Amino acid sequence: MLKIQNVDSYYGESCVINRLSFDVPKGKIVSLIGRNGVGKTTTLKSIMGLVKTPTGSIMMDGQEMIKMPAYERVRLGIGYVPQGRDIFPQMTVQENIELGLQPKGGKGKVPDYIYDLFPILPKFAKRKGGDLSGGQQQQLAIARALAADPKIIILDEPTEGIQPSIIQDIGAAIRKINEWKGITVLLVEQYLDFVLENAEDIYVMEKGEIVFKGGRNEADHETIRMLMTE
Amino acid sequence: MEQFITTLFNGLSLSSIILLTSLGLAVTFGLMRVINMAHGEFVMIGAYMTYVVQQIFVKFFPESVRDIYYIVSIPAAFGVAFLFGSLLERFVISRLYGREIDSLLATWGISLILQQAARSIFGTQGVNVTAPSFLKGGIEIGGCTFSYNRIFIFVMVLLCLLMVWVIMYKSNFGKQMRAVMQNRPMAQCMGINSRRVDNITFALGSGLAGIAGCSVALLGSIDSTVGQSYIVNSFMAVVLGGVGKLAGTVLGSTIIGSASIFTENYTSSTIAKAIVLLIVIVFLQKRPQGLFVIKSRNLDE
Repeated sequence: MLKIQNVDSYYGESCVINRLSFDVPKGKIVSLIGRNGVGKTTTLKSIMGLVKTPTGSIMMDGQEMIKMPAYERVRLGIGYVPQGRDIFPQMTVQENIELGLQPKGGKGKVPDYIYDLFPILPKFAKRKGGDLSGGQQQQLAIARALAADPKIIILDEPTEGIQPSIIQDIGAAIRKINEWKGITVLLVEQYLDFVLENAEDIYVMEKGEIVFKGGRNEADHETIRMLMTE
Repeated sequence: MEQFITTLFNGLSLSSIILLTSLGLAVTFGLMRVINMAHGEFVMIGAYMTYVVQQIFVKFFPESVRDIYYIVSIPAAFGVAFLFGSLLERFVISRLYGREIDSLLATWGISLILQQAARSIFGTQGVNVTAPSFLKGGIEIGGCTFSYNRIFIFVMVLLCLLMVWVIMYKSNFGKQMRAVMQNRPMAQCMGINSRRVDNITFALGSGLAGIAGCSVALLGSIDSTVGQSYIVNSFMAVVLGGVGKLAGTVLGSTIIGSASIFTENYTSSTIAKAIVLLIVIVFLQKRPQGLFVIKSRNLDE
């Protein structure tokens, strides 16, 4: 579904990702893991068109999108949950979720299953997004990304700064959207246990490159753990 | 008592004009953080459009329908100022986002160019519009006269306020606009074309200044500096009210307008300006965010 080939990305003069190639097959939950600063977030920003990618190819469902602006990429069916959630703090919870309909021109209805996934959100519909706790904001950010029925959802460290009970809820929600709706998931994480519990395929990144690839069941968990702590 | 009521009415009248010019600024400066020194010139464009529409009606329409020129001039002023605003954003402002001082200097230059263009087209002498007959005179209550044109400006301000509120809080474009202003990269990741939103937002603020020009045209002579006399007060009103808050702009304009007229009543216009400026400076020292503060758990500003 999502195919990244030979992508470079720079912050100023320094190369953050280097000839990066990997793909995310349709209907799977794929995780990209690695230590701090290896280029995971930059990889996602490159996919979303938020950082410059002078070389390479990023294909979504066979369509090249490396030269597209971010707003056009989203319209191809990508839902994005960034690191730090980036909800719109001065808008209500309802408005935040409805903003997720923008890829469809702001029209249509938010799918009901989203409220089944996150029953807390309708209760806080009139509250400002900025007034929610970190865990609630994370649920809101995922709900917003799902509003326009994306084909793939990209999550950047959804467990960061979240209490354990809500981490469990988020993991369950990720599996459900994959099972119920067949939505492909690309999950960037540092929390290895969460990844092993939820992802099917795992890529490990180091210094802007993929250094390990394997299925959850076939991968040697100790090797992955070593790569994460080295 | 009569003098107090008259002063209060005049204060509110000035407040309403400041509010009309501030509404545009609340959008361009308050939401987009662009210090547009040419905002006053959009007021001027609106005022001159009123004059142009009047001249067209005098030349081509029978006397019986001439009064409606003013009604026609309101959308015309909005439209032309909107168009100029859109062009300014597209060719100048959009290249200077995040560079406040550069955009300030560039728009100051644009302001001088527009003023000179107005002098070249309309001459250095001021021109006047004749108020339509339905706005001549006034209503007398308890010995105080309330002129129709100032009452009309009140109504126009309220309608503009309602229009801005509906656009910002009840339309899909308003949702896009607020999203872009709160978090541009994330708004793009929601499928919003932020460049288009920037352009229309800036043009909308300019269009509102054009409508302010229409009201200013009713109150006195129009020349190339007509917008300049309101612009300082308008910036003060937006900052005093709290940048980014519509309710703050309304309250800020009311305070600045009323304070100006009341102090002017007991001193001179120059001293009044100095006193109002001093009050605003002291207030902002104590409360730099203005009257209305946006509170949030994760607002990083």
